[in-house]
Amino acid sequence: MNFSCNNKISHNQFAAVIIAAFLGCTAVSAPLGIIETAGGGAYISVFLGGFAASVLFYVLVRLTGKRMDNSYENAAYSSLGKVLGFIVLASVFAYTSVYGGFQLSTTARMVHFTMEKSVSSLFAAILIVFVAFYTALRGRECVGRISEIAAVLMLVFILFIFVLSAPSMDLITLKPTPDEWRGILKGAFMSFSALSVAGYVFIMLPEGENTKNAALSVFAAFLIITVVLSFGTALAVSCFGVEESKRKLWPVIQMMNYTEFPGSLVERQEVLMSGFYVFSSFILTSLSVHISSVMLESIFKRINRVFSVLVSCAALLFFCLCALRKGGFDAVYSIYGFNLAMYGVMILAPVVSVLRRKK
Amino acid sequence: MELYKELNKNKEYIKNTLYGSDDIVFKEFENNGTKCFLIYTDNIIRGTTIEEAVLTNIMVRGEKNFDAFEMQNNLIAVGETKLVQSFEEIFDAVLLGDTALIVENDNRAVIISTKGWPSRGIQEAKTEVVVQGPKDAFTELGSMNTVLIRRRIRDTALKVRRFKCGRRSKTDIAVMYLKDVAKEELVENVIRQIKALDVDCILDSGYLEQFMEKRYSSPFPQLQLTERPDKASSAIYEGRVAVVVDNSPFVILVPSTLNIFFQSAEDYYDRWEIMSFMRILRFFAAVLSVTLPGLYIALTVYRPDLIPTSLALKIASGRAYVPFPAIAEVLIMETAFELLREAGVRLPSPVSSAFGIVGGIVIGSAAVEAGIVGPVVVIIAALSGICSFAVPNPAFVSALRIVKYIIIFMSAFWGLFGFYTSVFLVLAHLASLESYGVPYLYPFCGGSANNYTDFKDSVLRAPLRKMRKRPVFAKAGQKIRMLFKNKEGGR
Amino acid sequence: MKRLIGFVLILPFLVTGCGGNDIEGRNFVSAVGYDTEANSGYEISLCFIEPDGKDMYSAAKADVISPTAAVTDKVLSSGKRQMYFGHLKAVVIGSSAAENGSLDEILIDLSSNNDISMDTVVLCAQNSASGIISTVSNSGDGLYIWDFYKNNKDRLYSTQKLTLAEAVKKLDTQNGIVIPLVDAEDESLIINGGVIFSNNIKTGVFDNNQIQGFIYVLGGGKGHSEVININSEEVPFNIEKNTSSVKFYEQDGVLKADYDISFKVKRLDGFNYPEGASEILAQQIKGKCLAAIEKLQHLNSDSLGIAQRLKRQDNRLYNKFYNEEMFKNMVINLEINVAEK
Repeated sequence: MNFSCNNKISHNQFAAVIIAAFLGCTAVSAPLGIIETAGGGAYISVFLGGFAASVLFYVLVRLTGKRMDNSYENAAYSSLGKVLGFIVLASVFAYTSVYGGFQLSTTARMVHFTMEKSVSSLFAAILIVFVAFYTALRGRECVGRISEIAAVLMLVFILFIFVLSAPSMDLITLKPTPDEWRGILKGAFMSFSALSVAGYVFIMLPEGENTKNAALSVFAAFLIITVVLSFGTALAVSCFGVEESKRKLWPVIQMMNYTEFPGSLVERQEVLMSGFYVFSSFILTSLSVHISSVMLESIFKRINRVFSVLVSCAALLFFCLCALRKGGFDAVYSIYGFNLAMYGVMILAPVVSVLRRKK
Repeated sequence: MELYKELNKNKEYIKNTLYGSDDIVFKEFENNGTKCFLIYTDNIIRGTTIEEAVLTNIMVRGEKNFDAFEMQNNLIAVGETKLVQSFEEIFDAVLLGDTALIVENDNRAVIISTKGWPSRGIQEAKTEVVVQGPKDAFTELGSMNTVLIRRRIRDTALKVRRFKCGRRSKTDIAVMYLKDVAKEELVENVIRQIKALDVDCILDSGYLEQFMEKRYSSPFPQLQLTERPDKASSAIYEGRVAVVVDNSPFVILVPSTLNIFFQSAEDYYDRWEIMSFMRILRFFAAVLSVTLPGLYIALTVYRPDLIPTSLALKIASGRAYVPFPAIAEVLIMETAFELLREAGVRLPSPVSSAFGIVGGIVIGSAAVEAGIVGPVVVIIAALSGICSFAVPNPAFVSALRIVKYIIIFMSAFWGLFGFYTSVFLVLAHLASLESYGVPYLYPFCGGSANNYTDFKDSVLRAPLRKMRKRPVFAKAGQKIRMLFKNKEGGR
Repeated sequence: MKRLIGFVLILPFLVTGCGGNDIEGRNFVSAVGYDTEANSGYEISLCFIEPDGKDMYSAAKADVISPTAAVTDKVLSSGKRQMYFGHLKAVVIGSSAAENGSLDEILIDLSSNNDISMDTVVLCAQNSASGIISTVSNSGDGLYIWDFYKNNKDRLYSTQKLTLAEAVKKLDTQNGIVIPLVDAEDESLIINGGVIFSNNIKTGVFDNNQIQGFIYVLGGGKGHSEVININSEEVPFNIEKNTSSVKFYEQDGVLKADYDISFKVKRLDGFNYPEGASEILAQQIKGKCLAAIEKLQHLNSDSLGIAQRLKRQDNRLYNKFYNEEMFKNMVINLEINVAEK
């Protein structure tokens, strides 16, 4: 067991990366649309969709056989050949940049509107990309380690909040009515797809690990996200009601204001808590930049590491700017054939897994 | 260069090389008509040894004409002697405090160990003071320091590898480790790295520390310096490597993680409950000392709505006639405290503590009276200063001081977002650091490498009986350090 | 490369930064009042605390600004200091604004402002909001309303606390809402009773007894006390626990609701309690509850959220009976249980 710079992370760290990167981002982007479609029963949708996604990921990881002996980028070239391999890697590069850029744009918007009015969203995006540049340059170990800390902190705080606010939940609003079930199922599909866009993180799966353990970590990580999200959605809906939740920019975080902390030092906890969301966004952006840069490096061999990370940052920032120009949250996800790309990744994901099977 | 057979040639060469070094003593004498030549450095030798064990024996008791080998074996009554054949070895030995003896018609010289440096003896530790536990500290004498460690580890597995470093200073370095516990690649790595250094001098272990660090541009220390022999010994027991540098009362311990900088030797001598509490306090204090001024700026300037109403009103009324913006206010107070700290170090110690307290109180209250700063800022600056002293390692405290200013500036520019960004940046930097292959943030990161057992000695300090396993630094097969079969502790 | 990175680092400092306003450069608005004028604009009155280094509570000032809402921003920023809503504690809706049906407009506008805490207390004035605000200001205590609720947490006798979050949620889910009433009398504030809104318009006022009944029906009576009058002697009970549940059913083509409201009360020391005091107490409570429900039904203000409950509890009945007048036409039975500790 040696730590030194082998650019590998353990499967526990991998689970931490998933939790840290997606807990915050999906907490913001997923429930909004889902509350709109599913109404009071949104938490059920979130749970169903999330659970389905977790199972899917478990199966996908298990597809890799007993052990993965090859990194993703090597596997793509060696088993698909030059042309196909290039196409796969390039599409992963494009996808990560676009996904990372879109998520970044929502963060930047949040920062501008709810955290710091004096910081423009454009500038917030630049600053986050700069931090991501530093982190990605230090390699995937750095991302893994920082996620480990962030994930634990996030979960502890969220658990704390949930335990404190659970007694004040208004159960009446949460009981779904029969006519809402259609919406709930629709919402479940939405939450499923919101989580499955995370599919590309498979690429980060550590090689040489026991697949069974890795699959379990992935499953557990997504399940944790699912449970936290559905509980958070339930709290938000019971706290604000459906209509007001729709109006709120990030209901799950804003609901934290209502938790009465014993002897709290801060007046409005939700703004401090939004720090976790920003942290999560930092990690997701770093992750995206890192993955794109690795793809770039395997497409163009002998490329300078600094240069490849810089190019990835630029690409991500470009898509983020496009999304910022386009405007609101919903608009962002309806552009650039994003959904198409999403399904593309969902088709690509099993292929990825099978590729990495031991020969 | 090899020695000549003729004594005169040898004498000439040596005198020429050492010309101008008036502290070198040359002594010529005869043994039954055989000319002998003695060289040593004044004041760093033990004079009595030369007189009684060397000169008396050779001049008085020498019955026949001895050559160098015979003298070494039959006449010189000193435990440590050796035969050498080159001038370089003679010079090295003489400059170190040994005495060289050259005999006519012999191309060998005897090196007699006569070292007797002036030293200040073993004194109490100054920088790592403990209430309970041994009080002795390392001294400037490298050999003494190895003895202090050896006294605590009477195990044949304790190895001491000595060599010299520094082109001109030729500083003695001793690498100490437990052969069956420390990882071989770590030991070899450390030795290789030190041997590869080609520098003029190593004046202190601080030099070596900076040369050995992988990321020297980071403000955070990646190696631990200690002046406590018990701390060094406990590190060696854990499978770490101690580097003893001559002329320095500080011993380098590798590898070192952030967690280690929060441990004090005392932690293991007192009860575990109170020491766990102290650990929590230290971590809390470190976080507070770094973030408090930045958070103050971010909250008062950008988000006063986060502060409880009555406190916000208090801060506002306190600042009502302050002419400077909050950032300047914070910087003024922080600078004042830094100056007090720096001046306190230079002052003679009986004055410095009084100066620190008086200076702090006087400047703080005067600044508030004069309306230059608000009263809350004085509290913030003082609190962050006090908190930084709760961390036991001075090198780490300095790093925290630097980081504090980064957070202050970023918070001043971009408010709460800048605050979060700077905190993340610091975390990312810490996460990217490694010390000889161990992540700097271990065990908070990568704790799975040792099955998370190292958490028992991190934010909490588990009872000694529960810490059965050695930390991650030890070899894979050497994880168990205590075995209890029954309650009394027997096997 | 290093220069480039350095440039990227410095760039942000050049383009942005230092956008904040020091804390003493802000006037802390503690209460805001809304009235409507004849020409359909809002008259906004503010009570704010100026940080001037003296005793800050005495520095409360009221400022009545009477332009229309459109130019509010301009007025708010024209003062010596920036008007800051981050510590807004109370919103007072004037009766003119309440009668005009601008309640949801005001509240949703407030809730969408990120500076404003959703914990802000919402009140309705008997007359004009500006009068209340100036009374708060003249009392020298800009945080009067906030402190009133803070210090009487569980002991509000004839009123309730309504936060902005609750108000907005109720506006979304039910067609009626009751907002606590505030009145100024001889330069002092009285918070009791409540204003009933149905479909966003002020339609009536609860007196002290009725609002108590309303609170009991909602199950929020913990900490209240009830005084009964027997043989011209007054004896008090403390309510330790108050729960409420409702069952819906259909009988003879009419929608009926059975409320089961139970209390746990405690006698106080030093009073002489005659025989049958609890029965009289139950009677008195029932009378208050009935009066409240009767009034709400008369005004068709579903402030109890019955429609919402029915929808969740029995969707079939809801679909069958739901219409605008459902609450009004419903038969509501009360079952009061009083247990002594």
